[in-house]
Amino acid sequence: MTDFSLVLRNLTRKPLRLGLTLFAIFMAFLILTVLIAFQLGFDRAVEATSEERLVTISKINFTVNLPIGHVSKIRATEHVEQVAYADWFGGYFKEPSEPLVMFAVSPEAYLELYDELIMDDDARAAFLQNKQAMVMGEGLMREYGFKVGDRVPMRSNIFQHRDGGNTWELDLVGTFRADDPAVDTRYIIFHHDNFNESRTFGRDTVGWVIIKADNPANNDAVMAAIDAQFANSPNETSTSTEKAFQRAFVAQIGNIGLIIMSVVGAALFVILMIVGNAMMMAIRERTGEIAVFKALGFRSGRIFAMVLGESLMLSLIGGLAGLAVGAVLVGVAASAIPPLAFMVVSTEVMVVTLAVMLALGVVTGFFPARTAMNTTIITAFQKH
Amino acid sequence: MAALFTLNDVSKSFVRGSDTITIFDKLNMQIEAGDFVAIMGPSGSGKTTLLNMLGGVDGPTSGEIDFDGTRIDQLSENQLSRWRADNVGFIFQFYNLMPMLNAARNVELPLLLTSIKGKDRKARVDAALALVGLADRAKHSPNELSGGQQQRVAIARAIVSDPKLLLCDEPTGDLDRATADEILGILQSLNEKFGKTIVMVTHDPQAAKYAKRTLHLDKGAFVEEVAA
Repeated sequence: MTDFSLVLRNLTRKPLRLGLTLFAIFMAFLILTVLIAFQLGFDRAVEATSEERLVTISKINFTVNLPIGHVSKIRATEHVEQVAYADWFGGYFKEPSEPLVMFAVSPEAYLELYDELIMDDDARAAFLQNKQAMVMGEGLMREYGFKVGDRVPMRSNIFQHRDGGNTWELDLVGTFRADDPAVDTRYIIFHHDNFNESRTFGRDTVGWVIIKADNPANNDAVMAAIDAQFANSPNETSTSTEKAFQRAFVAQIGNIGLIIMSVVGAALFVILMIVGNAMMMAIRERTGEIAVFKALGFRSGRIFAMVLGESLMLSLIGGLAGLAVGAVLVGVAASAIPPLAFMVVSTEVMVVTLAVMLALGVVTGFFPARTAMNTTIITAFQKH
Repeated sequence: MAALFTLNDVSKSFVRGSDTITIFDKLNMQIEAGDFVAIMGPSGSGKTTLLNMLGGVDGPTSGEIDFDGTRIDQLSENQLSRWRADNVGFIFQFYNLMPMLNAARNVELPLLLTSIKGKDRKARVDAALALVGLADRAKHSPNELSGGQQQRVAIARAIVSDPKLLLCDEPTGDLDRATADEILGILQSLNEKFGKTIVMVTHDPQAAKYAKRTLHLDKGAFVEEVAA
């Protein structure tokens, strides 16, 4: 027998209470794992966007398109090296409940600017030559069971095709991937010309313009120059780095970090109360036993460590189970729900979750442990 | 025989509200090594307080308590813990076994405070249980044992680390006569065969007969000593 086995036996002496407490901790860490995976994955996805690329959108907001004429004016701006443009298609395959991220883009310039997308030469050539072509991320193709060479009817939940309906028949000519797993490749790009010519409204506009300056040091000047030239026009612009654009996009949804931390904080606070109360009850019930331990010669510090160890073990058992199930859930969600593909239970998520487990164990165990440590043998026997 | 315990002018008082309650006032006594002393007296006479002071779980307000050359009234809490682990075995009226541990594990508890490990530890536990006649109950949990058997386990726990001193607080107070006699017989045997010094607080004159001498305590002072 060791102190560890004593702690274990104390922990398991009330199976129902142990089970309920563990379940509460399990649920808290399940939620924590999923939400932290969401938060950190989201942050990583934003971080993976470029500081070098600039994005110009309408000053009103990103849902308002810009005239396509802005593109050539931006291209002519001093220090601008490359310009591409894109539009949101609002695509889906078969059912609107299965949305696909699809952009209509200026193909050549887009691929030059997004050089982190890796395509083989044949696919690139086929994509550039064929106005009806599209390319998509490798994972997306596998997930939907498409093959290169397929002609796929892609539908839009926004735009109408001039031939009637909302379907664009597109040739899948290749795929792309990225070396950095944080770079999202679960999307489709196709020719803006094709899209622009065939849609019934919104022609000759673009959703946003992507710019690369000749030198990142000139980014501020380029951003200022672009917005200045459209100032006081009917289509004023707002230019920022791509990273700032992504952050602003997220900010329109709300302060995700604050929302997540509020939920996590509330869950953990409740668990703190439950576990803390359970531990205090356990120690109160064991006052007489603690006195016996002390009478036998166990030092106060050792008793403190044993009680603290008990709460740490409680927190770790429930927490690790929550982390494990949370990791499975995150994996399932990331592969089943395309917009959540950035979610991953990374080492960082595990470290943060483990740190919270240890903190929970220490906080909930400290006061009961101190109570046990300070229990005097005489008082305890009198109460007992 | 040499004195194991010497109490010199030991006083003990409590402050309760505005009153000071004196339990002992300059109490003096000696307990020799190998002695078996029964302490009797009416409720409130200070028997348990005296036992607690001898076990280092309570300290005197003034005076000296010397155990085999060590002034235990001057030891810190941690030093007292070590001293108890090395020298004292406790036997309580209500056994105070750990309900989540079986008999063998309960007996093993004091050995966690020693450097004895593995086979030696098991051998000691087996020997202690055999000595109290419970070798076949090692795997039983306390709630599977009768009161007398639980008290035997408590005795085995008290002697497993081979302390010089056994302090017994009403060890038969919760047992029937026949079982009480068995327990007292074991204590007597530990005293006579193994030389354990035993101090036993009891209300029971029959129990006191097993001791070598009986001290009667009343209002904080010894009023009578009866040799067996």
